[in-house]
Amino acid sequence: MFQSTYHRLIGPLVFTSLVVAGAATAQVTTTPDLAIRDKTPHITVFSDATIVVAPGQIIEGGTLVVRDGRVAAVGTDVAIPSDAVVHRLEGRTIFPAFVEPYAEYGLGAVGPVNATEDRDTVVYEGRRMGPDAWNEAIHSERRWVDAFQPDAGEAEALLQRGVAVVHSSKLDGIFRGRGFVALTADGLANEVVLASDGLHSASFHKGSSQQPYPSSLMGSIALVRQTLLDVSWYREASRLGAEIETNSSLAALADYRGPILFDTRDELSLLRAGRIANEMKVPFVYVGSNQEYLHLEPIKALDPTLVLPLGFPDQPDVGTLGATLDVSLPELRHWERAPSNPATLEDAGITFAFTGEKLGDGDFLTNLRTAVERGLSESTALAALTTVPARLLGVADQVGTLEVGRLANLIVAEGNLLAADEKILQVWVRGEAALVNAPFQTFDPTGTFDLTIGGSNYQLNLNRASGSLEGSLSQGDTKQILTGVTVDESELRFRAPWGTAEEGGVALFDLVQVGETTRGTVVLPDGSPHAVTLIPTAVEPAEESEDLPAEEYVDGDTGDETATEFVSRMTHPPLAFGFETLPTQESVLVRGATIWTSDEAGVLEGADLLVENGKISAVGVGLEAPDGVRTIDGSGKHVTAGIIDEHSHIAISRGVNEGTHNVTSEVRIADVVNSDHVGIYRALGGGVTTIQQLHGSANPIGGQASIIKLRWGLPPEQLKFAGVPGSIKFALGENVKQSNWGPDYRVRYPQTRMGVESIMRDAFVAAQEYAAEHAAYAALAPRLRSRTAPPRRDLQLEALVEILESTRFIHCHSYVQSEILMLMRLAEELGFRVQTFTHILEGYKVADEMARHGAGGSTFSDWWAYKFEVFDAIPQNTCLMHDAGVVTSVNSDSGSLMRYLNQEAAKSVHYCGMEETDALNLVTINPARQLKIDDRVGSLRPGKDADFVIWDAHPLSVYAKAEQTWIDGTLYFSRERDAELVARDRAEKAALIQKILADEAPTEEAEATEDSEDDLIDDPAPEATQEWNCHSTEAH
Amino acid sequence: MSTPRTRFGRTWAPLLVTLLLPQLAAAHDQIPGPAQSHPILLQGGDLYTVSDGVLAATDLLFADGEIVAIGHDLELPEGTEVIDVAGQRVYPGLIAMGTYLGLVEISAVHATDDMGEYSADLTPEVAAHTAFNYDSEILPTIRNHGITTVQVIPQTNLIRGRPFVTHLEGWSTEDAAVELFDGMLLGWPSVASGPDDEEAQAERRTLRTAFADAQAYLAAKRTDPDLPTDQRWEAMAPVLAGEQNTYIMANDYRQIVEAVAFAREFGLRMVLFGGRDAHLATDLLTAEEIPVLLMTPQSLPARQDDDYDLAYKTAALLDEAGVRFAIWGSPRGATAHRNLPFQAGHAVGFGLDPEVALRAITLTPAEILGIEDRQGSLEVGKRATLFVSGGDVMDYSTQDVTQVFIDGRAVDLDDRHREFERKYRTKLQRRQEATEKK
Repeated sequence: MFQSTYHRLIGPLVFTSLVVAGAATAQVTTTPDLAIRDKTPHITVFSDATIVVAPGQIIEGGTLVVRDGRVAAVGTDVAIPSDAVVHRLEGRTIFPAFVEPYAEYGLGAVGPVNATEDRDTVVYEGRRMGPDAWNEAIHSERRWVDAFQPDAGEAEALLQRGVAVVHSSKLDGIFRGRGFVALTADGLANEVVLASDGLHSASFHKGSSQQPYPSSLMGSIALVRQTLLDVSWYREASRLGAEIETNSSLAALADYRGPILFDTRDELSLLRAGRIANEMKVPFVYVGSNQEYLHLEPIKALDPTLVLPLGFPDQPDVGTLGATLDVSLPELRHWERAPSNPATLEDAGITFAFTGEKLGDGDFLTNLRTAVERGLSESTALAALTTVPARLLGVADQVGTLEVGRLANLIVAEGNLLAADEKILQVWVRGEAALVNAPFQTFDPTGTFDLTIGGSNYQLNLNRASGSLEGSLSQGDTKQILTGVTVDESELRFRAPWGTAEEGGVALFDLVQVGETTRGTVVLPDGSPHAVTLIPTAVEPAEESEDLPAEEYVDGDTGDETATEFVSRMTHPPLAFGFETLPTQESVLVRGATIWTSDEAGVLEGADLLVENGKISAVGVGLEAPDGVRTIDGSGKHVTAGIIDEHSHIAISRGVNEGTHNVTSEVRIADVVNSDHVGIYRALGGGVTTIQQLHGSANPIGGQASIIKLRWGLPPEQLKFAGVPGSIKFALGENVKQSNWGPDYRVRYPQTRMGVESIMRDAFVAAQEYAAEHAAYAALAPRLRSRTAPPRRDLQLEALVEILESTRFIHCHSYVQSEILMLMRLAEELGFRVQTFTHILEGYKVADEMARHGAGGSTFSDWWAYKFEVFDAIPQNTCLMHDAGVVTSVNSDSGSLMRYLNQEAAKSVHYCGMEETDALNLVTINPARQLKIDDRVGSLRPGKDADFVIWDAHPLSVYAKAEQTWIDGTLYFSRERDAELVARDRAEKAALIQKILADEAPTEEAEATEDSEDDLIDDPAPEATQEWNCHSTEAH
Repeated sequence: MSTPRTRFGRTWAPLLVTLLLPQLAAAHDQIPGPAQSHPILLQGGDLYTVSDGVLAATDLLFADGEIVAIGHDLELPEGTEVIDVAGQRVYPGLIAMGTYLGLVEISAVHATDDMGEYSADLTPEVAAHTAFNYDSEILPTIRNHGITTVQVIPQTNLIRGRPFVTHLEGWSTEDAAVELFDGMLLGWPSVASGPDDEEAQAERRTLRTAFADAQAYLAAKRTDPDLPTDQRWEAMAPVLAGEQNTYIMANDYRQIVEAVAFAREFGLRMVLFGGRDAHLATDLLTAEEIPVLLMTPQSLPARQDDDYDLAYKTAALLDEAGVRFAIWGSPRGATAHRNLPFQAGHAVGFGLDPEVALRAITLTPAEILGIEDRQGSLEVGKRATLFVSGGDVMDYSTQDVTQVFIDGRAVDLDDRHREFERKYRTKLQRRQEATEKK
């Protein structure tokens, strides 16, 4: 009936509707009416109310006229039609009913998008339905309105939180299909659908899909990116009539111009989605997490529209010593600060709507009031519930305000439900009462009354001192407290203890208001009924209060005027050891130290290191200190270049392995860098400054690697090592042939080392052909090209083309000599070389061949015998490779081991007598050469980045501690500051725990909602310690 | 019921070739050394006695596998071989507790893994010595780091079974085992998922029930020896009698407290394994006199808010508080135990007294294992289980183990790694020679 199409305009998204304004007559229907036709005139008037017409537009003592479901008039001077039903609402407040932009409503009968099947073995293929997408998590072809069945129970839950309009689709999968907009009123779908075609929604979570791919966040991101590319290609190729497959999933998105509602579970993933939106030039509206305040600046830079869940974290359990051990500082902080997130976003000028999804155990209205208490203005809060989502859904001309012509979707509340615990009395949808919690006006019996029973005089007192009605019955000095006091539109009932203890009992009062008089019957304990009449006592005692005055709705009210006082700190990153103020670049001169240059200068005794503007200015003995340079006494200290780890998996969100497909060169670690990982700080404590974050080793061609500097406190994009050439993980041997994966994993190609060679060869041949196809297209004459469909872009093959063109470099997990030789031969045949063999525990067997090929070798210092292919591993491996002329390094593959890579280097001195300077180079300049960043880092040479470590002892000694770790001339770690941070964090944690314990007044716990969706509320902390290594295949 | 201590290694084989420079041995497999045939004097070395500090430039004489004299200008029996170790250090053999050595060769190859009898939660009857492989390729790589003696533990669920103590060299348990039955090992149920964790609660009940059942069984058996035999409860007799140690793996503070209370309730002689949070329970551990096999110092902190160097410095914190502890070389696997002295060294870097660190890998584990009468320090009357190192054994570039003696027998210090190194250095040399000829 009401259909909207979306037209993207420049600037804010604006939608128009096909519905002609003013055509607000009763709906025309096709469904036969089989009973007597209902022709009651639907004209309702609400008068004498506070009417919030729209955010910031309030009418006191106003009148609202509703005709045929729409607002016909609103104001203070409005004529009341003679045929109207009139509701006088003194003291009540009318709000526009809320619009819920993100829900699953009326789709309960559909079940999960993908059925769960028991499977004996892993199945890599997706189940298909029609000409749909290859991946089960993509079902953008679904048009959810087609499955819509209004559901009274679900509708009531929405109405209870004031929702009259809901945007619904299955919240399952990566591309989830197109939603629809409906009223929460009772009726056929035909009657309540407001817009059949709502928004597409998407996420990074594959939901009910049973297909293995994607198993990691970076896999999801790659799938989103490739799908959006495919959509453009499909649109273009279809337009030009190219011979391509039919694909309903791509077609649905190709025809779509609206924004995609993109669900993010934390603020870092919001930033990730934002990067894709910008890259693909597709508008996203982000469903947030209330963690946005943790990384506000980069989020602000996206200029986003958010859909914000009104769900806040539960109070952490700190009731026992054990519980306080389990709770982390970030959890405690988030508990304290999450409710202030909406206010923070408002202050930052970010537009948002609210959603009741991901509510957790919280109550929507309670959380709304908490947000307002924490400084969110009432007008922004109301806009987030009404006009913002209405605009977002393209139905702003119909709903969201109570302006004339809009649907009469309204909430009648006791008072200002945004600020105080004022109940929703009724919700009306399209001019009809859809939810009636209570009548508009109950009779107010409070006061003091005289009454006579059986000739004796009594005094009755009724009040609402604590919200609910209570009272007492007195005779002289004897006072009885009433029980069971209830009141409705006109009736008042209560009980009172009666008589003496011996022959007493309970008297039942049953009264009714008739006109101005309240009268009725009391039944005494002996069963005798007596008539009673309440006569107001002449003088009302001063302390007897009327019903508490309703909270006023005030435009622009900032809630609690005093700023919320926090115990917790905001730090960068938002973890223990975070900086309150980020450290800045300094000019420093380290004097009189033993300086290990990892360069031709060798080791300089009693030497100085001068650092200016983030670079090394000079290294030598007796340097002059320029003005304004801070001098550090280096006597007795050793200075080395920052440690570099060729192989790390720290600071990666949700999965280091897209270990599903045999080739996953489309996935990128750079998409999932997690700046908020405590492993960064711990590694700095071991002198590490630069790491390569590698994909795991579960498939022959893995994902693209990322190189970061450990700039603790900066967001992900600022950790990345700028200007570095691309690299990628390959892997050989037992992991990729799934030797130790169990009996379910016997179907993926390859299962042998022979197959590994074949699959790699095949992938590279495909890449060669791909490059040729694109080159041919690019070479077409412009006129011909404009009429020719472009070849499909394939991000997986593009990464392989980069390898073939030597602009991306392979770091290959490898152990045994046969496979090492295989890859070098294959590379030589294809015209490139293998940059580094990582792990390479049998490098010593083929060291001369590696040297000839030009491959580096990065090894574990002394690991062996954990699987068959490493039974020949030896700790003298480094010496043999080094002696053969291989650029050799030692890596960690471990968040633990990376904290003492200097010691790992020392093992080469221990096991095979390597020169100390060469040994230190195993973790400084040599890995820099392997990563092709040796012109920037890895040695202490003038002009290079000022990444260096000050040690308290010989850097290869087990006793050495990194005292200071500098990156780009900025001090990111020092033992001295660490001690301060530890003390600071301990005090903060204790204070937060005390705050919770103090909060734990003996009030009743809020009742848990039935559908607890705890698992959707992300604790901001769990990823902070997640440990991965090459073999980690789990993701979420 | 108690198991009498069995002492092996006292039979003297006839004199064969003594491999005092074993690195020259050509054999690719290492042959156990023959019994000590003549007295040996280690002359002029710095003796790290552990029990009596460092005796600089002092002689040590051992004969028939036993230290017979320490001092200067010692009277030498006829036929004494004098080995000049001036400038080198002499240490008692290092002792690694809590290892899976000899029970596993390649952990990913199931057939080579005898670490755990996972078919049941309660396996007190299993005994580690029954599966130990003295030909494991891993053993030579451990002992050439000065580690002469290890405790071998089974790895299962709740009641894990009986560890044993062995030297790392010998033909079999017949000559190499030190203690065939070394108490009982328990794994304390997890608390990480909170007190509501039903599985952990059930495990606690299972443990308690097992100990109560064993007590009841043993009491009944005392009154009526003809009752049918339950192997499981028989195996628990020595620990329930307090004659042997009960080793309890527990890392979390709550686990530690529960385990200590449990040990007290059943009269167990408890040794805490792991003790990651032991620094939070020092009062309890000192009051109950419970020694600790302390979680490897190079472990990662368990909680994200923990001090970055918490595991590094826990040993120093325990020492300050007076808790007695040995250091665990590696909580997993077998191969990493060669890093035991370096783990101790790492703790020294973070504040542990070097003498305490050395004691934590020699005499303290010997005391915990009840073999301090035989080894753990350089003292007259103790076994000649000791080694010579060119320098500080706890640091990488100074550790240079030149000779190892177990019960006076010279140990071949070669290993699989050195063999491969020689083999492929030969390859490299030949290739380089061939290139030069061109």
